[in-house]
Amino acid sequence: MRSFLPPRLLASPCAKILGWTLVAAVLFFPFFVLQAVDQNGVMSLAAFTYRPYLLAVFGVFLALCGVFFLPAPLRALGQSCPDFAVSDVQKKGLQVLLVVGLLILPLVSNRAELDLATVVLLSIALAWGMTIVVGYAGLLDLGYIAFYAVGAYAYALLSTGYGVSFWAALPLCALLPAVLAFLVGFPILRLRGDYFAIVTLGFAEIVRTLLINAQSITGGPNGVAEIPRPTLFGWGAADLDERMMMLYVLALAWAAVVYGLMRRLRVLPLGRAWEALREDEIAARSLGVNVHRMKLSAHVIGAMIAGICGAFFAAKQGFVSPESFTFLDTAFLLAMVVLGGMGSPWGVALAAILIVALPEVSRSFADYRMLFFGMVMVLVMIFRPGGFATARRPSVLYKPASGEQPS
Amino acid sequence: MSNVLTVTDLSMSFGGLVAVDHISFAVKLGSITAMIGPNGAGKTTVFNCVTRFYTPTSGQMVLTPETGSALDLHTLSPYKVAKKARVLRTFQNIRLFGQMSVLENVLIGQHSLLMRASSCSVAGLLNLRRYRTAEKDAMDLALSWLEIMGLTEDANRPAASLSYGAQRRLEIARCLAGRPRLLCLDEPAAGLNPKESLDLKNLLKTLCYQHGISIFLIEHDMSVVMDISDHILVLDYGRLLAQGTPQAVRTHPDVIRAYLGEDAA
Repeated sequence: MRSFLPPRLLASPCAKILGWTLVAAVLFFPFFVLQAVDQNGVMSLAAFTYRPYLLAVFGVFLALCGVFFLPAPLRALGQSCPDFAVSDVQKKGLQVLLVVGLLILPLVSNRAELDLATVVLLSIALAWGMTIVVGYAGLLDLGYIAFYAVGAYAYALLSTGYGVSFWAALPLCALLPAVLAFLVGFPILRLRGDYFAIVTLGFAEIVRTLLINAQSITGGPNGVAEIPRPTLFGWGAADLDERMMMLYVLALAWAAVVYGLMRRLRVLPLGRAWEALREDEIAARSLGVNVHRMKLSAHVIGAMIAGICGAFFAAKQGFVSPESFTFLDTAFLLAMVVLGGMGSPWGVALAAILIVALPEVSRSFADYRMLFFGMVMVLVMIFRPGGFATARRPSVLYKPASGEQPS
Repeated sequence: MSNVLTVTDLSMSFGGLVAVDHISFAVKLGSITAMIGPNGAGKTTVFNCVTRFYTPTSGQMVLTPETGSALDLHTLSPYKVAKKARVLRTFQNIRLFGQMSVLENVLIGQHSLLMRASSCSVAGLLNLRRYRTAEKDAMDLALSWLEIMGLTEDANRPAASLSYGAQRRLEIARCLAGRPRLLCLDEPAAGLNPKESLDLKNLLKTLCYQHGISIFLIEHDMSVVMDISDHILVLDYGRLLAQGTPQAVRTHPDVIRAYLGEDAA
């Protein structure tokens, strides 16, 4: 194919990122720039009010899309180590940009946007927790939302019923789902594949039904209301703005903790054993991996993360009801993990943004939300069947002492 | 020479089918013992019993390490056969962790050791020096085996992307990283070309005579079996037909009858 640009420029990662960013821009253009307006019963499209900040977020989002949609051949720079064709410096730059962006966000955004950002961060943390279970250990847990529910209700009931403060309740919100995950996981983790999935699905339904029917304790379908908001050294309760800022900071900190945890676990023997038993359980066992205990640990750690996410959710909403913990929520969560590319934190984060934030931003297109969702699913299936980030990065790299290094 | 593995009166039946019928044998320390026999003779079943993938119907299997007390394999759960007794095995149809890199595969071979060093991940999460040293040692050991197997160049590649012969070698390297007392190889030469199976022969000899690893293997390739084995077991219909040195087995009338038919004997 002939081109006006020099081939070396075209082959450079920057050009590719720009190219895909452009594609992503065209794809998501209507959601950010246009809104549906009701003019005397006739729907028409009109331009959004101009918001520079929103456009900046849009730009960053598109750039990320660009990075992840990079064609696979480009990733395999060195044959021995398939990786992003982004240099370490560029990666560092992106990371710094991201952190700065996340930190100044509460200062420049309005309440709705900050609220949305908090929801997205919590969803990302929850999806990351599920990535440990589904992506790393390969356990298709369709009842993951149940642990989220238990964490949320634990905080809701402890705070409204017994006046336990947020920080005192937090360890319990992790412990309770963990104990539950242990008790449930002990027998059912011996099941394989589909059977495990079905039993966990049933478990989530049992928890939800229990929440609806144990009216005297959980408030039944009405849920629990007036859950106190968290404060830190007296800060965070003054007014609505401060409260929202507090919740955002908490969600951000928690997401960072989960990110650090999952990145670290992956390179430890534990994380490697998870991946090994996902790949081949029999071989793992023949090498001395206690398969059952490894699965149990993934299940319990995943449940703890979900439980704390649940506590944050309850604290943010100030209200919990069984409606927030349906199978559909698990399905969306699973979609984030699978779309993101099983096991890749950034891919999963991107998918979480796509699934949580886009429908919110494009509220005026709410009727077409599922349609759009389906379209994205189909596109991903066609173009990136392994999810956004498919290139698996080894947990350890062999670096020869001398000679060329695989990069 | 003392025995590293002593099997007495081992039987395994699936319902009415008797796959292994009261066989007794021993694997000597620091030697290569081969098990041969026609398809369906029960060779892999014996392997699965020894590595406790199956629970034998009856019989005793005792592992006697060079130092320390004897271990009754019967009482160990499958993963403990690898962890405590350090009886490690390969599989007839290669079972690698395909998506994981070659180096990661070999590190999984040292799982129990690293897991202990990371104190079930606590020391690992805190990145204590104790764990860092253990991790470095594990890396060095893994790399030294990869070097011997000629896989150093491919250390960062996904295991599934290796050639067939290299995959077989990786599977052996993965076991070796676990410091085996007994290395069980299920048809290591299957699917190898003549040059690769020659290399395999030399490799197994090196492992046995230089590294002192006792090897117990199942093999159909007679050139491999006859050349390297110290002791050969012949199985047919689940029964031990004959055993002895390659020379003795080669001329044993029952063996000739089983392989070549009634007239040949």
